[in-house]
Amino acid sequence: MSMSGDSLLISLSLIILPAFLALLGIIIFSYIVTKRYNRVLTRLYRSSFRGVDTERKRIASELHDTLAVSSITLSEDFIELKSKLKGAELATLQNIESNLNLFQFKTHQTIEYMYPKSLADLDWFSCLKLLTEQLSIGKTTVTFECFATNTPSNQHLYHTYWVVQEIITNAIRHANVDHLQVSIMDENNEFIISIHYQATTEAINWFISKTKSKSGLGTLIIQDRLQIIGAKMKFEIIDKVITQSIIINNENISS
Amino acid sequence: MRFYSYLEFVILLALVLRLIIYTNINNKALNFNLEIILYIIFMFLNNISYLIFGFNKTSNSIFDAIFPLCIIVPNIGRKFNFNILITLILFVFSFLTTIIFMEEFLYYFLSLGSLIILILTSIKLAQGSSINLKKTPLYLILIIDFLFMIIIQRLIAVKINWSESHFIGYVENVVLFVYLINLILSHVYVRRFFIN
Repeated sequence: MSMSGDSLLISLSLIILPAFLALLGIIIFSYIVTKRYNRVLTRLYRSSFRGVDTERKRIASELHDTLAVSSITLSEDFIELKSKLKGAELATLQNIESNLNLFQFKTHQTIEYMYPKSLADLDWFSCLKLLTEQLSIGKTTVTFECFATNTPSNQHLYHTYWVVQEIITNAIRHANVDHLQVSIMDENNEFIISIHYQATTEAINWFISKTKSKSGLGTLIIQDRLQIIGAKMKFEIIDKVITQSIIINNENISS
Repeated sequence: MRFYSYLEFVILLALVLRLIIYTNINNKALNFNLEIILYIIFMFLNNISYLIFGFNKTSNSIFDAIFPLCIIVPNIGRKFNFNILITLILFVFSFLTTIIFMEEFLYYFLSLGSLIILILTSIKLAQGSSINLKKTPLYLILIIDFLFMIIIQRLIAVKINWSESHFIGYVENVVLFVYLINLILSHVYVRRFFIN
């Protein structure tokens, strides 16, 4: 009933070999399945962006329509009331009307921010130009210049628009700059949107802290949106000027 | 042990009846899933043989030869576009050849070959459509079954007096538990092979 060392080793090897093969197979299988589900999750995540954009458009459109109807009714009521009132009461009413007009203007502006009209028109240049105008608030000025003739596919405009907006607002908030410039150019079959601003101490500190710590939600959303449109971002500091460029690949260019 | 055999008999009988119903509903799937059908049928026959004859060395070695061939032959048949009849003839022929040799290393390499085929099939199915992905759990169950089968075969082949072992009973319980779980899981996943 005794067995030699060799036959024991052979027997052990004959057991270990199938066990190892099964283990290896299950590891490869798990890797494939995990990769597959990750792909599905990424696709779901990306389509959720589209859902958010559609919802944003719907809310903006509903707000716009409701505001328009209310504004017409209110204007007629004000005209009727103004014809009936005199003196101090009329002055108070005019004051109320002026405040209401301001409120309507601000609401319109909010709706425009929420879903710019040019975004619905799918016009790259006017859309980005309007964005820079909207972001020129108070002492901050954002200028726009365009040297491009071809634009990428229209379906990429959504994501590019929100990425540019996020980059500019981040720069205004964290870099403490008064002037920013957005330039568009197409070079070597690449569509490049560059955002230039002064490399202030705050801007450099902010970038250093960003590289040290985990990316924030805004940065993650920028990365996800760029990934959806197959674009990449470049960051450089030349002559105390920070340039953040969004480079959209050749395959997305439609001449 | 006897109780487990009766329990296994009931589960396998239900599984075979389900297979008969499914093949009637979708007989086209028969050719694509021949290995699953053959494997389950021979598991059932193995169980009946155990209930009738008890632990028998001859029937054991017959089924040790049959199980790997259930996986290998239908795969070869599919590879060379053989119809079911030719595949079954090839199955009987290969079974007889294996039985004539009755070589334990031949059994081992057949089991190892079927294990590799099952691993490759499950990986291939995992890369395919979602319908194919749903079939993979049954292949994983078969991989575990074959792995245990090989380990048991090798333990039996080792010239050791197992009757003196204190822990072999625990190993047996673990094996039976795994087989039982696999049978129940087979009930869950077998439908996917015939009805989408």
